[in-house]
Amino acid sequence: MEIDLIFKIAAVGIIITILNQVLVRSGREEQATMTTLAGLVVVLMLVAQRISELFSLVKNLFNF
Amino acid sequence: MNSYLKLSAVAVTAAIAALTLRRRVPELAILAVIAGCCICGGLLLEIVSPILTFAKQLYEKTGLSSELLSPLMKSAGIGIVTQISASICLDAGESALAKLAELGGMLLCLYVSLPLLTAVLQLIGRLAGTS
Repeated sequence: MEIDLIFKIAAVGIIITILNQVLVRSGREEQATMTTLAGLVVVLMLVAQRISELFSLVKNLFNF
Repeated sequence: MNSYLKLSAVAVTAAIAALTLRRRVPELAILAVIAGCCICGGLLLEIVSPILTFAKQLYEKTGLSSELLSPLMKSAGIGIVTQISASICLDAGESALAKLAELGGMLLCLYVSLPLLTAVLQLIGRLAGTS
């Protein structure tokens, strides 16, 4: 299902928020930043695939 | 109708997800918006595909060369991609990038219309030459 992607991104965001809070409270701010960046990279990889599919669909439909 | 209902549902879900993430992890909010746009874009193109097929059939009945239809179709596709990318840049607060995306779209539309413009110039030249 296509809508699963949105839920995955929201879930990753909430997990990052929780981990961020836990790491910042225990004084590990660099690790908190790295966790956020890792989450960003994971979501970016999920989204990049979809962007590529959209652009190939546009190319096929409009005779590029 | 089903595709359109799916599109509305995905758009609203993505908006809610973006709102939830905006204060906590703002970068993921814009990625949620991009993901929503990609899914909705795919569903939209599914809806528009029969309309495009009908337009092509209608055009074939006119008897004109298919090379003349190509710039029109390409411009429509470029317009869609430009609108989506410029709006996403604006949502992310980057109006300069949005303007550049729009400018790129305009210039690309002009570029794909060049064969058409060349044909018009040649026709004018022939008419001016004969008259």
